This record gives sequence, structure tokens and C-alpha cells, in this order.
Amino acid sequence: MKKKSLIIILSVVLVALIALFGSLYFNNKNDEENDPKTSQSQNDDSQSEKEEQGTNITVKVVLDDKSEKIFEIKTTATTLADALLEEKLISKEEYDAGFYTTINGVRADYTLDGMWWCFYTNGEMATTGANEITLSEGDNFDIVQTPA
Amino acid sequence: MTLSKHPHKLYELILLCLFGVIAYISQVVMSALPNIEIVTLLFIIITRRFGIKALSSVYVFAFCEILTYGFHIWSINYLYVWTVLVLIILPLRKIDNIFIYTLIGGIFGLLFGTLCSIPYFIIGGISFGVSYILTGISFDFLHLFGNTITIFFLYKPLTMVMNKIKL
Repeated sequence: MKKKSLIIILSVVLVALIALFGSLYFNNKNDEENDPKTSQSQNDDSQSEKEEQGTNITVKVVLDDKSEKIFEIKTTATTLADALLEEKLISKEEYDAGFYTTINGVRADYTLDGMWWCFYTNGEMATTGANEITLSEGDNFDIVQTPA
Repeated sequence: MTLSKHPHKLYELILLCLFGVIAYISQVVMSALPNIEIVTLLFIIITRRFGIKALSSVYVFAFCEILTYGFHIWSINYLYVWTVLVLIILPLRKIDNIFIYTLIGGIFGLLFGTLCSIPYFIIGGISFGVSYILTGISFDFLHLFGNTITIFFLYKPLTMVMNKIKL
């Protein structure tokens, strides 16, 4: 009986967690798809790809001392991580690991520097990794060195 | 207490270290499969057999992982995530029921990303922690799926092997 009630409790917890995580996942996905900016630029993207075979994006690297460097990038890459690698803003090792401590030669390693790189897509903090951020024509990315 | 006067203690200690290394090897071998692992199952079985001493295996495993991959933010996770699993199994270890452990393994797999997000909440605040969880949800579902399958199919044979060990 004790085992039975434990199994029931655990099953209920598991189902509730699946429902919660599932709804979080799909909400997050829908938010990205319904973002008018994203869908508009996705249309632009497909048109321009036909015309010019490339996507124009702007990457702004902002350091802790507020100094910034702007990169106007034209790329055929599909994700931000691919574009950053192409521009040599990140290393191949960190590209493979999917976790970036050094951007454009500047390190922001939490354990060593007490700082991290925060990514913003068109002004909004990114909710996915750079390897999952797809590029659209005219996208603006801010990569900000942020103190912990 | 000296270990030479208590050979069974020494034997147990060696076994526990060995299990930690086995867990590490299994992780490395299966690292190509995203979030499919048998480490959860191994620690469940080790905890059932050895109780709180299973933490020795956990920390041998964590030590090997850090030696291999270096110390990063995510290394902090290894220092407490598996301990949480051991502490959950500890009060239930006398119960021998495949469904209970399959369910616990599944829940643990689904919550793995959330448990691992704690350092990110501390480092970058709530938005960083939440975005870390959201980014990893698809991997958490894979982890749930992987744990459920591996525990359901391997719990009985591995428990049988573990019970053959005489202390």
C-alpha cells in the first residue's frame, strides 16, 4: 500500500512537471515565432537571400567600461554562433562547447573575472544559446560584458 | 580505526571508488548521446546497496569529470546535483520497486537542468537562471526519456549484479 501510494504520488509529480515544462517550452517557442520583428525580418531574409545570397546583421560588443565595437556582418551563416565563428569573434573550441567566455579577444569568465557575456537580440535578452539564434536580415545583436 | 585492521572496510572503500570510476567511464562512453546516460541508474543502485557511503562514488565521479573537462561554472553542478539524487534515494533504499526508481529517475532527469541552473541564478540573477532553464528544456525532456528507458530496462539486471557482491 505504501509503495502504491508512493508510485501514485511520483506519477502525479512527473505528469505535473511534464505539463509545466511542456507549457514553458511551447510558450517560449511561440513567443519567438510570434515576434513581429522576427517574422517580418524572416520574410525580408528569404527575399534578400534570393537577391544577394547573404544576411546583413550588426553585432555590437559592449565592454564593462561602456566602450563598444560594432561589426557590420554580411553572412550566409544561419545562426549567430556560426556568424561569430566566421568573423573570428569566438574560438572554434568555445563554438563547439556552446559556452562563450572570450568574445573578440576579450575574456569574461565568471570564475576568473567575475563577469559573463550577456546576449541581446534586437534589444531583448536572448533566451536561447547563440547556436540556436537564427539570423534574420537587419538583426541587431548586442553582446554585453556583464559583471556578475 | 586503521583500514588494515578492518579489511572489509578497505574492500568497501575500493568498491565505492571503483563504482565512481565506472560511472565516469559510462558518462564518457555515452557522451555522444545527448543526455542519455546511466549515471543516474548507477547512483540509484549504489545508494540502495551502500546507503550514504554512495557519496564516495559520487565525489570520485565528480573529481574524474573535473579532471577531464576542467573546472567551469557547470563543474559546480557536479558537486551537488548527484548528492541530491543520493539524498532522495536514501530514505527509500529498502524498497525494491522498479516503478518507483523509474519515476524518480524520470523526475530527476526532467529537473536536472533546473537543479543545474542554481549557480546561474547566483551569477546572473533571475533572468539569466530562467533563460538557462528555458534553453535546456528540450534536453531535459531527452533526459527524462533516457532515464526512464535505461532505468526501466537495466535496473533489475544491475541490481542482481550488485546483490551478488559480498561485503
